[in-house]
Amino acid sequence: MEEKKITRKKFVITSLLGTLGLVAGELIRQSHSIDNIENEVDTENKKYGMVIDLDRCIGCNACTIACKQENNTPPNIHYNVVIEKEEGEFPNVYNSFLPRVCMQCDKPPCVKVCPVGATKKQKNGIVSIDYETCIGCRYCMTACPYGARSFDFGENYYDQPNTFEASPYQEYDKIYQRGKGKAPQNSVRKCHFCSHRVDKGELPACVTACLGKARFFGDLNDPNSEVSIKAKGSWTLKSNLGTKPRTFYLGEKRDD
Amino acid sequence: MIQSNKLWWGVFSLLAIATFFFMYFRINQGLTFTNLNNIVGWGLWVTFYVYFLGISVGLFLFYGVCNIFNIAKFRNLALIALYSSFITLIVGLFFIFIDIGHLGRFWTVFINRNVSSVLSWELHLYVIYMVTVALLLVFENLGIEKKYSNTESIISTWCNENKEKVIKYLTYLGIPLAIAVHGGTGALFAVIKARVFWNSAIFPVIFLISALLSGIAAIIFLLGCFHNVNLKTQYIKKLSNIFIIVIVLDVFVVMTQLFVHYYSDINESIAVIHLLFYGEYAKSFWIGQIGIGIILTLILFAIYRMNTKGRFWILWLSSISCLIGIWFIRMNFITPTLSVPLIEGLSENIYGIESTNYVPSLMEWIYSLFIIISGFIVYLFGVSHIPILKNIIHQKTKKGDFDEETA
Repeated sequence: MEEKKITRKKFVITSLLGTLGLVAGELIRQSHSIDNIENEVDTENKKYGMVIDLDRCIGCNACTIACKQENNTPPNIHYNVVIEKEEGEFPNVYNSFLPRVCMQCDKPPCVKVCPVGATKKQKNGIVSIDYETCIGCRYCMTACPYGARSFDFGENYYDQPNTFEASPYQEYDKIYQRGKGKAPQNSVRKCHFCSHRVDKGELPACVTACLGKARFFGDLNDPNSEVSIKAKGSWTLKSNLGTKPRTFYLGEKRDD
Repeated sequence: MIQSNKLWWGVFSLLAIATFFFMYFRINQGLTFTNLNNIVGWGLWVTFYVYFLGISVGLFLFYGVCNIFNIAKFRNLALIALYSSFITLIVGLFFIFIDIGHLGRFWTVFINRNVSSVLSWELHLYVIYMVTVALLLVFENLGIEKKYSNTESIISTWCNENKEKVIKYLTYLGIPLAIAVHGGTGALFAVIKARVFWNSAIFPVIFLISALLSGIAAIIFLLGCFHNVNLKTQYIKKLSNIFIIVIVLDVFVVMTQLFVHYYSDINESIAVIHLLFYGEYAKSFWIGQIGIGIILTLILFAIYRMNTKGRFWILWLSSISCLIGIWFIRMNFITPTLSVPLIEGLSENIYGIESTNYVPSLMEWIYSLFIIISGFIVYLFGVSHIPILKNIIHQKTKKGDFDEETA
């Protein structure tokens, strides 16, 4: 049998290609794995979710105010919005309200598109943003089907932030204080189910403040929790997009 | 062309000072002076990024095709295209650079990778593509001027000996890269399922065909700018044939996109089309995209072809109007889609206004103009200093001198 001759050139090229392949493989492996955004039923951890009963919502916006106070959000950034709509025809006219928070999707389109992996799906079900990593490209904002993300342009309600605006506040597990160029300015922000409160065993600010007791929050992994029971028979916004939201709605289904 | 190095030092010092002030203002003010908001998050700068990247890709593909098929009659034009492709690429990079919130973290995209992000891939490919174009530019210049080839190191000898081979393989690498980079830009938008108008498979194709069109239009434009590149009228006619074919192709894909979305009756799609046809973006659509981009381009083209003398400047004007039209295509396909609220009433709730139509602010225009002017100055510097381009400029060609060489 004729032996195949390995020339020096061939050897060098093969080893170069092999090294390149190894480096490429390692780079991909070290990159943010997309596994953690898959919808795995993780029974060991709590997986938080929210149910909003639209029949109980009176559109008072107490949730919006509580949220703004808790998260010290600047102008035009609302983690929680109550979308008000006039419906029906005269004389049978009524207002309908649709509170919109972050859906904390199990298949979040925002996590998929982030070029630096700054936004992640946490094991407790919450989609988080790392303000220290975010580059502010706003790709996630265009990708979110619910418009739940906002960019912090660095504006304040007052030219010189007043005492409240300048006071420290907590998001995720860090404490922030409003100041020019300081995080989370120039980053994208969104509702995080008041993760800092949840970690302490408290409810999100909007749930506590809700006058009509329209909001329920808790562990969806526990079948006996109030939120799990309420979630039965609920619907989600834009379910056709396959984002698998963890914020559910009760009451008459609205057009998306 | 200006040769005095002192003058260039002066110009670049002024440019550096201006850049310092512009960057200081941008870093200090963030994006507050733009008209971007939480509904329309991408605007003029992203449009310019896509636009310049498109021109770069188009020009590079022209160079690549001329190089691979060894089309000698377009050789000089191809070299100009390669250089222009590099500069437009840099200009595009600056546009995306000033658009991001944290300028200082720009480089982190190369250490914090996300394999599922199209943008992550896009930026990596962008850099590889830029390096490829830069290397090609370096290799094309090897051995042209004696002072560069005096050094007798092993590397320079190897490079000089294998110049043709390296250029060939780099071009082989560059062509799929160019397609991937610009197809990737289209995919960047197309993968967003939240925006129905973008979420179609033809979107990346539109980007690629628009890139081809902007490339060929830019070639004709450059041909008019570099008087020394004399092409026989028959070759200009050939170029114009390619130009018209790509225009038709571009109009076809753009119309397909509009027709399919109009026909679909999906609320969001119809909303975008209404904004374009008779909404806030109607002027930009009818005057910019259709009026200048298609009708004016075609009229000028028809005049050029019907005129027996085939005056080149008419074709040149046609290419300029086409380049303007392509800019409008980019603009009209990006911002109107973002203007459509994702949930009815969301925009009213946040901003108290029914619709959030985006009009770039004066500062956005000033920044854009500054980047373009800076790019132009760097371009002129290169033209007067890069050996191959200097050769093209200073060659005293009789009309159609190198036309004798056949492909």
